Amino acid sequence: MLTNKSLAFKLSLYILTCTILIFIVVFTHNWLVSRRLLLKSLEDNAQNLAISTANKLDQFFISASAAPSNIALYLEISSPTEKEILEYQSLILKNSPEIYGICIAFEPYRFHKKSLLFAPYFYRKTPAEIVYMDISNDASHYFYADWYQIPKEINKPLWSEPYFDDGAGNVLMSTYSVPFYKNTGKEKKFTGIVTADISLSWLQKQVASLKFFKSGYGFLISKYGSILTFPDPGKIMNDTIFSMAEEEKNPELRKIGREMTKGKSGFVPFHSTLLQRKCWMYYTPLKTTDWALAVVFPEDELFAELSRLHWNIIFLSSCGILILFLMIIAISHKITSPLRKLALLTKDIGSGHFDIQQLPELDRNDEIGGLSRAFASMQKSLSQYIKNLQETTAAKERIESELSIARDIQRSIIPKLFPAFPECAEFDVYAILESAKAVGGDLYDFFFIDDDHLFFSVGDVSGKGVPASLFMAVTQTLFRATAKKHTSAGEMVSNINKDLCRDNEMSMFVTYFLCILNIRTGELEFCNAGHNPPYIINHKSGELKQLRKIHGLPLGTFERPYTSEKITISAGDTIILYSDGVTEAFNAADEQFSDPRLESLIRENKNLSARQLAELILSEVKKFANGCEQSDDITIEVLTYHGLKK
Amino acid sequence: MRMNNKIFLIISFLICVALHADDAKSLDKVTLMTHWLPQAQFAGYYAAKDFGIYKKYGLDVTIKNADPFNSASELIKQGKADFITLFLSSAIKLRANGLKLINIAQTSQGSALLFVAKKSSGIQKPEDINGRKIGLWMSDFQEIPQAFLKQYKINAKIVPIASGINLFLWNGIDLVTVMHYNEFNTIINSGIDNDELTTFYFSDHNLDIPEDGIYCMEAFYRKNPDICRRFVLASMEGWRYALEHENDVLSKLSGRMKELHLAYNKFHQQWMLKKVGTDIFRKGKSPGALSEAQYLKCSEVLLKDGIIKKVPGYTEFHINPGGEKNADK
Repeated sequence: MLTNKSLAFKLSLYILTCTILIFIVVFTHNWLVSRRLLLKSLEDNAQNLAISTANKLDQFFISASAAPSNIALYLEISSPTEKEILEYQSLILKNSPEIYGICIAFEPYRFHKKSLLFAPYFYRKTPAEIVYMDISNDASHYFYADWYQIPKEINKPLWSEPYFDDGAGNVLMSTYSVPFYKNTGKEKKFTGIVTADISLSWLQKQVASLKFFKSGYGFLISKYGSILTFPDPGKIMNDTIFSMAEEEKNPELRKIGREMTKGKSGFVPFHSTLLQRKCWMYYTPLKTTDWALAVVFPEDELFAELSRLHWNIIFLSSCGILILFLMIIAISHKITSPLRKLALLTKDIGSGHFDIQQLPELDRNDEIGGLSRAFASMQKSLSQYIKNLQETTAAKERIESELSIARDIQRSIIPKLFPAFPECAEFDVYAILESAKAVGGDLYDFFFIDDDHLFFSVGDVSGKGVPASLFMAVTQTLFRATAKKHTSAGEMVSNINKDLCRDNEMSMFVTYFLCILNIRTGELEFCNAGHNPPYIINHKSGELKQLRKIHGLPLGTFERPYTSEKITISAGDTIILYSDGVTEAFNAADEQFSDPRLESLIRENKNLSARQLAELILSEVKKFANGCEQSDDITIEVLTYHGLKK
Repeated sequence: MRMNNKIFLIISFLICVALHADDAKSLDKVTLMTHWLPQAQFAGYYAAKDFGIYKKYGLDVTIKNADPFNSASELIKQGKADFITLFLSSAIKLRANGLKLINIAQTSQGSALLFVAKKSSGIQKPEDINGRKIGLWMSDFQEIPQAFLKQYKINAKIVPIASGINLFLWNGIDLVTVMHYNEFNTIINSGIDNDELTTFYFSDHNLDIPEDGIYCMEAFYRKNPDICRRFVLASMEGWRYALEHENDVLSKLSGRMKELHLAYNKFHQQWMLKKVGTDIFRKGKSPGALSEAQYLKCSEVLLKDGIIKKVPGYTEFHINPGGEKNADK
């Protein structure tokens, strides 16, 4: 397909394709590397942000947990009165702004031997107003509340899962519970729990104040995955990170959740259902609470700057490629324009204008200059060659015209006028010579030797063309010149053969069949020097026979005597002489016309006149050859003897 | 003209008031007390109330709920409820102990109770429970877990718990009683994988005792058999409605739960509704019916464990005004 396009086009295509490929490779590499670097730096930033936030929260939890721990210690080492406890408790709360409420919950009968329950609780109804209530008055059965039961059973302080403190604090909270004990001599006896509540709305505010890009967010989960803070407050307490994973059918999130609750940290990609897109998350544990903080930021915002930068690169590169494209077009046009000029000139030269002088760029030293010079040299050679050719052609034309003259001369040697002897009623003779080349090697002849004897013959010179025709002319002239001198046909042939053999350096020869017919008696003397045996039709019997006798080799080969023989023919008999051009005519199937075909043709048409028969044979041979090139001269000579008319 | 308008408005208002009063009068007011806090476990009753099914059956039902500290049986004893839901085992125990409760529909057809332990605690088979701490709900649901412990002669420390699984998560107890449709899923949603847990489904330990049913006092039934019949029919229709209109019913349920500041997780409640619904409408069982075989099996367990001294008569205990008796006896 490309082969039909111009060089300029191909050049632009290849260079641009390579350039674009290189650009894509470099761009992709750059994109991946910068993305990785950016991600690494963002991971560091996210880590710093998450850890500093976690530290801040830890500070808060340390501070919040200090109060109940101190109260627990106070209760363990002293036995304060109810009034003292309440004063101390409210004072501590007043001085701990991060704490929402403080409760001291005693085991049954452990504070007063007489009263079953005692659980004083102070909490902030408003930031300024601290309210007191004894939660044991409420039927809330605090012994079974997580904040009481769990630290009691595990003998350890802990931050509770988020819960709504119904009937007491009436807010969403998490409670830090510290169990305290009394020494009863043998063992430490569990006496109660001191708690500090923190409002989750405060935590929510703290985490919400973290800003990560445009729409990033943070969230906090508890030891068992409960959502403590989240941009969607509906999730708080109601969901765990695991229930969210289940709801979103996102096993990855469950995996992340498990890592978080195990106290690990990590930087992972994940799909945020809240933001509806791919995000990255950094999570880290809080040291004080077994909780975990996560910061989430959307990938597209993360890579916004990078994307912008890369779009710029793409834009600039596209402009560059466009300019490059135009430059390549211009340069390749400039480079190929001499070629185009040369092509036009070549076309001119091709159409015969060899004299064009203005070949371009001959003074250049590059490939174009080389091509131009080579072309100039070619033009010169071509011009010289054409000149030679013209001369040769002229010479050839001269030779051809001379050949044509030779042909005319040759044609003029053989008798062509028919009827040849209109005054002679005794016989009728007709002959045809159809040359294969301009000048043929066949010959026929007939003439009267004297008043009664008619000489007629057919010959075929070896070879073709001018030498053959000259040899033929010599032969014919010799026969004409010496016919009268000889008494017999054999003698005539022997003598002429002698002449022909002499100085025959070219080793040419001629097959020859000659007859001498006494037109009065019908006596026919003939001699065959290596020629095709002629046919003779016996008019009376209708018989067709061949004069098969050969009296010697073709003329011009060896000097030796030839004999002859005589037969007598009757009125109506016809003798048919021919050259091998008849029987050896080929058709397209490479078959020869052949003797049998000639024989049957003659047999079927024995009653035709000499002329008719000769023309019929020629037309049948041509029909047989069916347009195939004639390879040899065709000569047919037919003589019909009518006898002496009285 | 103006006068005529006023008269017309007054007459219209009076007609409305009269019609409304008549409407209200024709509904029978009853109270249902569910045996646990609002959750999808009772979605059928809430659906029947919220979507007008009780009203269609001529009932004006008030639904209250028990809590870990106020059991439904206590409240019906005090006359604070006409109908209650209850575990079969608790109900037979109460009946044998003299409280004339009757079962008018056995909604649950199989057991969903199990003990769960963390594999990390080393508990793999019932014997491993010996000497461990087990969290058991303090109100009405203890009979079958106790039967399990007796069956394997397990001597363990029982820690009464109110609700939830946090004590278990924090390793304050080694095992906890949970309902498969509720707390079990909560444990999974606390990040503990199924393969990290050892479970003892009571149904796998020859204790496939059905649980939730609808109860009323025998006297109430004798006096109001038609109300009982309508209540059962409407409740079962409510269940079907709840299963077919999950989202509508759960959205109403979320309101009830949030009102009580309970954690509402739609996905969890949906899961619970499906599990409970499947249990109510089991293939080959007629919904609401309690077969004598089920009844006797439960009674024998209680008898063997000494929880009851005598098996109350089946026909006195279970009347199914809303459907046919179970075929499998």
